Amino acid sequence: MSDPKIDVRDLSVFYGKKQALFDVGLAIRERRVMALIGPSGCGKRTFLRALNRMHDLSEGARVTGSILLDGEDLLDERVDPVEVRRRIGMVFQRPNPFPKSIFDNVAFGLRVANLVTSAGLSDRVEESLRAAALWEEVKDRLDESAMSLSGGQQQRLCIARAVAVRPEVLLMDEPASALDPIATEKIEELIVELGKKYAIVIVTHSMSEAARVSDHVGFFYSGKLVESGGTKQTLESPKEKETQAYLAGRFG
Amino acid sequence: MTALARPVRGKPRPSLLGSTATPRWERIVERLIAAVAFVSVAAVLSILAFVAREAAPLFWEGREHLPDLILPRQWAGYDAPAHVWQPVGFPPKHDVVPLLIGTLKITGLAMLVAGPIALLSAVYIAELAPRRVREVVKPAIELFAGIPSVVLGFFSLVFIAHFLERLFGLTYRLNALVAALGLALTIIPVVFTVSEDALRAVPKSLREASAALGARRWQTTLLVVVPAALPGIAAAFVLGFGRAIGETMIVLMASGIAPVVDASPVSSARTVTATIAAELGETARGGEHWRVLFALGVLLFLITWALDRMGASAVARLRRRLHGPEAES
Amino acid sequence: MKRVSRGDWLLSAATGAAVVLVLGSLVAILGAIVVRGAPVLSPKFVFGSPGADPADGGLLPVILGTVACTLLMTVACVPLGVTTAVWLSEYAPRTSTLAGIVRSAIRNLAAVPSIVFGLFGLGFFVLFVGGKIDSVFYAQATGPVFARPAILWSSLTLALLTLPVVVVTTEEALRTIPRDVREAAFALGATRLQVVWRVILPHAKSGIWTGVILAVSRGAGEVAPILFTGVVGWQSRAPTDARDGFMHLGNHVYLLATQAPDVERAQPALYGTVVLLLLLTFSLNIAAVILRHRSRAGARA
Repeated sequence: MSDPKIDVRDLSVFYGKKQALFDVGLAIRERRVMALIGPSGCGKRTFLRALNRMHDLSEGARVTGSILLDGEDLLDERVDPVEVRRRIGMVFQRPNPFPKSIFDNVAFGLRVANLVTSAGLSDRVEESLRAAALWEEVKDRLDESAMSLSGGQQQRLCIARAVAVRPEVLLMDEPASALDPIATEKIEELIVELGKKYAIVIVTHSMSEAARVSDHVGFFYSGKLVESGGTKQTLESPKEKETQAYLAGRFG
Repeated sequence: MTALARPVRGKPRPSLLGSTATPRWERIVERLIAAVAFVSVAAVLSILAFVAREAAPLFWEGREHLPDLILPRQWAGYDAPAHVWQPVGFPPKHDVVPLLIGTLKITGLAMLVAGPIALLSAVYIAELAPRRVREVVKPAIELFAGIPSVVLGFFSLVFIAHFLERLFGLTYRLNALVAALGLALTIIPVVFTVSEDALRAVPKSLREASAALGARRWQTTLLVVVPAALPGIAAAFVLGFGRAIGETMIVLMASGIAPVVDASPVSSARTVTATIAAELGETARGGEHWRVLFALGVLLFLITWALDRMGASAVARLRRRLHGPEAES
Repeated sequence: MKRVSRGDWLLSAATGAAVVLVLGSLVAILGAIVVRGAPVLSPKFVFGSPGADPADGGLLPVILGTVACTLLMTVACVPLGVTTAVWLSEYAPRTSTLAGIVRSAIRNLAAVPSIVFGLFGLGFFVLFVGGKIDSVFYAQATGPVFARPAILWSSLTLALLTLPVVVVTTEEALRTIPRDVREAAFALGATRLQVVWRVILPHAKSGIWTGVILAVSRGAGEVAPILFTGVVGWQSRAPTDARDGFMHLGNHVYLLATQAPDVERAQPALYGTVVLLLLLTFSLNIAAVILRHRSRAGARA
């Protein structure tokens, strides 16, 4: 097997004096979907946000350990977190489009990074919207405010926005949890599709969602990674008793 | 229902229907409370009514003078038709145009100074300052609003005037610029507070989305947060402008108070508010001068009211923009 | 070392400089005034009997006038303001049109320029109300009794000006009271008025005090509304009757700064008076900020 895309070693996260994540090690592979599961407050979101250094934005958060992206430690203090985020995109729990036009939303990441000329901009926007399966619905109203879209469309727009900068990894924080079942289904199809091109890490609270979209799962419990492996075997025959209890629905 | 009404331990309980646990006097007190709440409504209406009442006779007594209030006129001793405010001259000249120009000049200058400073400060406090700095600096800036305007007027009159005189060697020690700088000190906390609120109202999720797309902090601030808060920032400027137009003591003390009509920022100027404050005390009730001063009061009331409505609707627009159309209240 | 991008650096520098400028001018204003004014504040200057020339000090009647006017104002505006806030927050349905009207009236009131309050005080209180009282009760009097500028009218004018401060601060305090506090009291069979009187108001006490302090501070510093409604220039005595004219620290600053016959000689008295006025208004403001900060911290804990 090839080297992992992201290799996390001994990752711990502290909020002030409180430790939220304990010595997590996990490998994330290229062109695979990794689902992080576990009860709320278990540390799966804390783990996800460490991967693109979002913790740098909050006062009092401290991260130790190492996260190797293609062998380079992105927690190294010489690394610019902005560069990390340009390579590792993120989609959030609630759709959070900017109060700008649909076009400007998708073009935002390209513009801030000066990635493409303005001539190439509209091509990239179209490409990204197609990748997010939104192009057909919005191609005639790219100048309208993104706030006029439905919740599911907004979330697909956020995905288009994230893939527009052609990241190497895509992080998703319960991307379908705020959506209705039909919109959820579309997002899940999209994740499977995108998983063929990117390394994707997705936090989810739904076992069935993890089963539908992911190749691997990691189970978190009280700040620790309890178990990880292939999705099918982990969900069907978990090794650890915390995982068994969780999957049996004994705590949630 | 029937079970409750059934006698318990021999003692009959009254029916719930038509029960009166709330005594009658309490209901009367509640009416009174509601009545008191409407004192504010009565106050606003009577302010307009009673200020207008003193001004109103302008429109039926000596109506032929009405055009002179706003149109230039060829006065004796003047080369060309001119706008002149000279209520103690002979004949008395009540052209309010020089006062309006003076007001616009001073408030405009004050906004030019205060607006950018206040907005930049708001950006720092809302976006960049560590929490501990914010908790100290924000109330400190808001304390500015706690300095009485007469003290700021005194400060402008003594210190700012002296400073500018030394700096530029001006003809008039007291002038529009001095008053504008003093006025800026009262606008800064208004613009600061309202725009800081607007910036902070921008949801954290937008900042995170921007950061996750690889935007630097300044890009997030200038391309996402400030544009998103724009209606609120506009409201801040409108409200600050309204405050500036209504401010009296600073301009009364520091503007040099001569009703000059020109474009120079360092000539003497006179605002509507300062004119009322300086002249009403020596004006006979019911004369034309008296009525014009009250009419200026009505004008001030209407202008500040309109600016306030504009500000309020801009804030409502901000809320809709950030939280969607359903978040109206 | 972390690199800081040039854009980030420029933004921090520009905005930080603005903050420094604002805070710097605050410090400069207070510093310049206090440094020159504080040495003037001898007991004789502050509490002495006034002489013929205001430049010699003797501010006791001025201070008494200011305090009396502010107290009268507080007595008038606090009950009004708190009652209005209680109605808005406890009685009026949240989306009712009537509440909307009251709220927008409060907003309007806060936006009316202070000089317009002065015109209103003169036109309404002095000429209209005072005139009516005189024509009914003092028809035989030779001159106006109530229909002339007086401390009563100044206080009432200021009370309307500061009303929004009390309403807004009190309502904010009432809104922070958790819902279950009210529900617990209602569930015990309390009537609405009992809930307000025994539960809501005690809970909101520090918030209401904040409003009172802010209103006092605001009212004590305003000059424009009292110019035509009651304030007088230099006289040697304090007001003893609600119908008297009165001297006021703010107006005194204005007079000493602009109308003193000998500007140089009046300087020390001027600085001294400004410091006294600041002591009254600014220190109350600081108190309000601290009180508010504490009550918010308390609400969070």
